[in-house]
Amino acid sequence: MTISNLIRKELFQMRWILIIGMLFGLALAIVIVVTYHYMEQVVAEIPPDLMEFLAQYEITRELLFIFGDYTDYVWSQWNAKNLIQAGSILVIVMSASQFAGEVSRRTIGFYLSRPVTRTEGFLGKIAAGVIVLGVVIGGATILTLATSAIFGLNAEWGRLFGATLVGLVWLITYYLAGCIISILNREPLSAGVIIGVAGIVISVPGIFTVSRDLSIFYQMRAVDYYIYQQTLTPTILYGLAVSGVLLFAGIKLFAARDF
Amino acid sequence: MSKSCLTVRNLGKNFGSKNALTGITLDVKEGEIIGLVGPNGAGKTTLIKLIMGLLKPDAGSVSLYGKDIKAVGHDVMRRVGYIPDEPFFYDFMTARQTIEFNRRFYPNWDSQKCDDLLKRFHLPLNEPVKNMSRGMKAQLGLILVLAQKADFLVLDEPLEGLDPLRRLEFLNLVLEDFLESAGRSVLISSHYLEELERVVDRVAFLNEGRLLRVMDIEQLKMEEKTIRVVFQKEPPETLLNMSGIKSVQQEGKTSYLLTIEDNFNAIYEACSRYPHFILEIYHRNLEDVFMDFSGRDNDDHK
Repeated sequence: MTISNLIRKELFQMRWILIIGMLFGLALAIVIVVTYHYMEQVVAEIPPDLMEFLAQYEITRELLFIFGDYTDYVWSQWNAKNLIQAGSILVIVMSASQFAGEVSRRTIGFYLSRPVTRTEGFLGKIAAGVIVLGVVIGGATILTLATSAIFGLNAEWGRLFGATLVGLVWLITYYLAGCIISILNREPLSAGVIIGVAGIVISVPGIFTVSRDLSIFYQMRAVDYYIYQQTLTPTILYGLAVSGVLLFAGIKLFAARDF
Repeated sequence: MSKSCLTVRNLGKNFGSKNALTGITLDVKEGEIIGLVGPNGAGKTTLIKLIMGLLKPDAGSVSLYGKDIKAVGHDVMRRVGYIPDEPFFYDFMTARQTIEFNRRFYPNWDSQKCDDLLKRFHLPLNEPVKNMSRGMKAQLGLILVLAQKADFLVLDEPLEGLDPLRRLEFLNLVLEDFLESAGRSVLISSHYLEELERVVDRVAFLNEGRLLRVMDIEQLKMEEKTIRVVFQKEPPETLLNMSGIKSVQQEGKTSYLLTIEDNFNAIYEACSRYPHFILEIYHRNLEDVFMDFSGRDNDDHK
């Protein structure tokens, strides 16, 4: 009862994020379908001798790979790119306002003086954030695939949902890290900047092959699953383990803070 | 003997190197109204936030209905109604949504009382809270704690920013609610000492993070007085050193202003027995005593 009331309040508070996120997902779905449709025609019209010449270059080979298969194209545009970018912005906006926003608006006293334990107060916010992330990311994926079907483009739903699930798990990891930073800050703007900077810092290991597994943004792309055909389990368990540690740390930190 | 709804023992709180509260020990019994007074920065809000579990103590303990604040569950928190120093509600909610959000936490929510108070205050239910005046927000806060059927009201400066009529109405409603049930208690901090004096059973004086005194309001009315006396000759030292005389101010050679905090009858009797020209009693109110505590403390620091 308590938790559901808290979640309901958080969802109501984040309703505009949810609506804008879904509109973005719809716009993205249309863009992905239209650009593929257009680029497919462009590639088809390239003369064979020019194609042979261009194929010498790595970038062309990559583009041909992407446009060679619609599922690969959707993965490259959504899972490997926009999910990470849009999802990260969503995480920064949500997590910065979740705790630091409540303190700066001076509503935290009202929130915590209800019959709510600190753990419930924390989990209520986290659960609502996870729901919003799930609805926006999952919804955008569904919209993309549904729009594709309407335009007669068939993608492998299962693989793309698998990759999206991995991306979502790692976005939740970033979200939890953001919430911890938000608890430590009293202003949502400064919290947002720090969460963004922290995101850049933790993306650095992704640049190097040897350390890329340590980057949550590399993990979000679900490269191991999608490209290297590994099972979903290891990367999801890895993400859940890191999230579990952050969740535990967040509960302890929130319980110990003065408000 | 009535039980305590609030037990505070040797409570201490530091903010960095600053001691915000030191060694606070206080009980609020079931069925009493206790006022918390002190100048700005005395530590009233800090103490109330510690009582509500919003701040963590650095020393000592706080118990609500016998349970340590660190371990209180929903059952205890449902019995406590809190109005913070500034009633901040969620700006994105209307008054109706705020009430609805709150109602779901309290199984004993009194819808009838809520409706009655809403009618009485004429609050714009569908107006976002951000458009409401401070007075309206205070009324909304009062509706929430009264409809919650709290046994213990913790009110931090609830009269601040209200006009005299609204202050009166606010306190009357708190009193009405208090009288509805025998075991209800109220802890209220305020700078409006005249209004406070009218409703409280006891008053706790706080200054610079220390609890200076907890005084029964009846005792204040009976004992806290000032005697202006002009003796015919120099009085004996034993008279001026009688127990209960808080301060002696000599105005002339044989003219004295005695501030009494206890043992009034005996002191008055002793003064009247000694030859005098003038013997006058000035009744002291809460504000006078408050000024004493604030002033005395300031003098100590000079």
